[in-house]
Amino acid sequence: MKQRLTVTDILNSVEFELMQHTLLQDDVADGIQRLRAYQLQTRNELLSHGKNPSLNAVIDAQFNTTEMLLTLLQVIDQRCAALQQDLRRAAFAQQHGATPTGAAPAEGAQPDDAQEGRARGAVAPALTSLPAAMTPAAIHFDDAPFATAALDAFITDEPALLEMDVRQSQTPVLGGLVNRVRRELHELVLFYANKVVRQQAEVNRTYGNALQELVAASQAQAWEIQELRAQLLQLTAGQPTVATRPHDDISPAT
Amino acid sequence: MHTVEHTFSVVVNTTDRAASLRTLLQALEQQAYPHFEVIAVVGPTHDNTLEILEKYGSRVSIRRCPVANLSVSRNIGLQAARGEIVAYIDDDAVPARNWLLQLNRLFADPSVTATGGIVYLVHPHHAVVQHRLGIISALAEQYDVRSGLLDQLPPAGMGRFWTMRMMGTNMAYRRQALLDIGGFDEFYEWVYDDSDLAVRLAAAGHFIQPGAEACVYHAPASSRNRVAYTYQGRWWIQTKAAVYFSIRNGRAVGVPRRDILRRIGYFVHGHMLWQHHLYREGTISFGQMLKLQTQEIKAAAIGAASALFSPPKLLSPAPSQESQTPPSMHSYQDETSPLQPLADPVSGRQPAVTLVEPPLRIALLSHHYPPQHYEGVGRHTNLMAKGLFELGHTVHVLTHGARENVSFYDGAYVHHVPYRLNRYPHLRHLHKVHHLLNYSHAVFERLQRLVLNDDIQLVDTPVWQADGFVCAVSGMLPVVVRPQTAQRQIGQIERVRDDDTRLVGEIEESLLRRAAYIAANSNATVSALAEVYGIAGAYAPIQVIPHGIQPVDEQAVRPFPLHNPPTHLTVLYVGRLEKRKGIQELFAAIGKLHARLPHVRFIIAGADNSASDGFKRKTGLSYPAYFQKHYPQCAPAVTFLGEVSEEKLQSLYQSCDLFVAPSLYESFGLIYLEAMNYAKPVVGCRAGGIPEVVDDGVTGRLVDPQSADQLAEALFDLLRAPHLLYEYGLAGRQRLLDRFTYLHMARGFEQVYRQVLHRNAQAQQK
Repeated sequence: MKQRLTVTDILNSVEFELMQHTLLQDDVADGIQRLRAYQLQTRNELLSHGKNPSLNAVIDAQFNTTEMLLTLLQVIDQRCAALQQDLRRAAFAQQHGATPTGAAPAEGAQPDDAQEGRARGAVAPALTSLPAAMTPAAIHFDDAPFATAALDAFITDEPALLEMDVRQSQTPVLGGLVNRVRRELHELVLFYANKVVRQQAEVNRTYGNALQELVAASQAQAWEIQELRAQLLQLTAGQPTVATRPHDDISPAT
Repeated sequence: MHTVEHTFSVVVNTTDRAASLRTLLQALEQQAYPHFEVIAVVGPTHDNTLEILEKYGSRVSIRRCPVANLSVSRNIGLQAARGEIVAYIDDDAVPARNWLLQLNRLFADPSVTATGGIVYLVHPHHAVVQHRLGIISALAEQYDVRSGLLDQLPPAGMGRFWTMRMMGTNMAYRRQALLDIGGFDEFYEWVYDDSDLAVRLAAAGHFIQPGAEACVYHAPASSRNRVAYTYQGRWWIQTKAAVYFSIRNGRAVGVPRRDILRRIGYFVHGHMLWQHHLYREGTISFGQMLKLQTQEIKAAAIGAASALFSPPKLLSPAPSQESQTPPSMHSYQDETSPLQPLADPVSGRQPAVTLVEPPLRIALLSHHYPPQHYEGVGRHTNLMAKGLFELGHTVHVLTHGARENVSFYDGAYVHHVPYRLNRYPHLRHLHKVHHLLNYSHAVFERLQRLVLNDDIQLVDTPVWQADGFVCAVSGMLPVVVRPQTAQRQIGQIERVRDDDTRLVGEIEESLLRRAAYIAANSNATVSALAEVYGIAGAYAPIQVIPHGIQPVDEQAVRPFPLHNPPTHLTVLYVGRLEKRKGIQELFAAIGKLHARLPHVRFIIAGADNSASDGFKRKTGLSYPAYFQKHYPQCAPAVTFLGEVSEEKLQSLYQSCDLFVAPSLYESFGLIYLEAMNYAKPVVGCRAGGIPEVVDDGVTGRLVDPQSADQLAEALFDLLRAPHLLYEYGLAGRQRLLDRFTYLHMARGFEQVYRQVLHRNAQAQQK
């Protein structure tokens, strides 16, 4: 039976939301401490001597704990994403040849000199110090082309349209009339059913094309990332490199 | 990260905007972070700018800029700066109290060279977030960043080199870094100076990291370059700057020549299309359009030639003697600074008071607020805000809006708070509770940002819709609660007993129990608190502060024309058409009166609420239809206007001869005051707070609630006695001036707020 909600339930919900909010703002370690404190408090409230909690209350507390865990995971995930972004920023800066963060440019240097220095392939020393252990795993796209090819083969087939299949009436005298009416009705149904089939086939084709484009784009990106990594590793090892930026074939405007 | 206290030089570049400059200088007095100097660089000015600046003596370092060129002016400010950080703000902007404090926090990271914050455009009719986080390419393509920047890199565009940028009205740099790259390129006489600096800093390897806080409120004023909020401006300067920017920075980062040309083409073409649009809609003539388009082409040619054949106009990159050993700064703030009130950033109006204590910083909550919504709580909050502003305090109002923005209206910063129903999913089946909690949570989050930026000390919330409930539960700030007629009372009067209404009643009660102070509008409300919620002074001190309104000018007051009485008398009713307002009793009274006084006309202004109060369900009719059906003989004498605008409402009050509102309950009765404002006699019921407003036999008449007979008699007596209409009206106006103005009300709230803060400070000391 449903329990009647009271303002205590509302207050608990508000406090829980506020705690979630704090979790998102505070450090992860702090969040873990809060989670522990919450668990301890809940355990005391529910399971200490003489208490007889309802199953609903226990489940409710468990759900809350899970929610907080999920939030923590979310925070950790965000931190990971931020780290990845830092890496990408380093790669991006390397691609554009910026000097290390916060470092002043050489005396007398003009902004454009810095740009030209970069264009000559000068690499900022701070960016070459990425440890090799941080190299991410290679990206594989082995299965995706097969999957999309199969999908493509399926959807490029002509849609199997429905055909006329009318059971013949054996009724004497009126049989012919009945058969004719049945055929007319079937034709009407077939007309609309086949129209839907054709439209669906068109939708499938569009999906397939979009998927293929996406896979192609992802593959291109994966290749680009791998090339970047290779360059980064070369730089880390202190080897001179030749700039292989996408537009190197185009000479700068003069 | 440990706290570092940097010294700041706030540079203000100003030409012919004396009024805005005065507002800014006054706002800088209120900065919470004290370690800063102010440098005013004055262009070729023709107004009283210098006169204003001279009043500040040595507190403001004044420099002159001989030309009307923003970059030259900014460089003069930079060379005069003594602080470690140079912060630029426009002369038509006002910083939040914690602006420098937040910038200082951002500079605590030693890798950050440049930063800035959010900019709100606060014009009452053009309120938008003008700048949040922005990026710009080497071809002057600009985007606002809403999510992670690096996930979108490189964004759609041809510029190749992308960097974060700040808006010129809210940007700060490490002084030495700025000097090292030669300061601003003086080719940019207006616009793109800030973006060019960002690109050059980033190219030199500096880290630009704008923040989400450190906000500035911007009220664009007109200048020699543009007339604010119109198309009129020297837009060709923009084209000249954009072309120069694209060629210089595009070439520097190796953008292909064809992409640079395409980008310039897009830009010039875009401006031309806009001018063509202005011509099509009749704003400009064909000749003007041609002239503007010629200017565009000319400007593009100048920009291109300068970028290709001239060197950039930068400061000498060698560090100056001053920058190596900066002498001590003149601090801007002095002992009088804490007592300076803020001025209206849009109109420049100043509160006409001399403060003896520092001004308060208050957040008022109201779900609805003028000018979008004129209704009870919103109007009351609006008048409080206005009164508190007149008393020198800084007021922020948080109200519901479809988009986040901030405007300045009637003495207060009005923050529009959007909300989504993404919290409390388990309460989704309770419509009112679900909305209330989600909105209240959104308000709480906005308040957190206000604490960070504007150093809010206290929150004031009405019980109605319990906007401040989550804030009260969080304990973040002391909460003063204003009880008016609340959901539980309405539920009792209208006999609504569903779970949703019951829980909203419990939320209201919980809010009241968490209040630091309860400011009731009448003794009737205090009694109702005890009766309806079981709350007495034991939980929080209670004080009665009657509502107040703004008295209209004497010329607008229309007492009854005793010597030239009208042939037809007009009786006005204002309020929603619902049971609680006594509308059925009024109908019955009109029915009784019509035969006796056929020359009397009745005007009924207010929305029909028959669907909400159950009347339509019971009778199948709306209130107007019910009246037409049951009193057909009176129908020609009665006009139903429905909901009317504020202007119309004021004109109705002004033109009526008698005001009637037989409400069964009003916590106060603001409508009676509105009528008394124009010297109109009033008729109401002996219910709730109405007798505290209407003096029976002096300013009007009171009858028992739900008594149509008494109501008809009272109306008859007054309508038959012109001298009473005149005398009661004048007495009502005088009573309003003596007790019920918005300044009386604001002074009451000021006392309450000071008491709350005093008690809070004492509690913290303990």
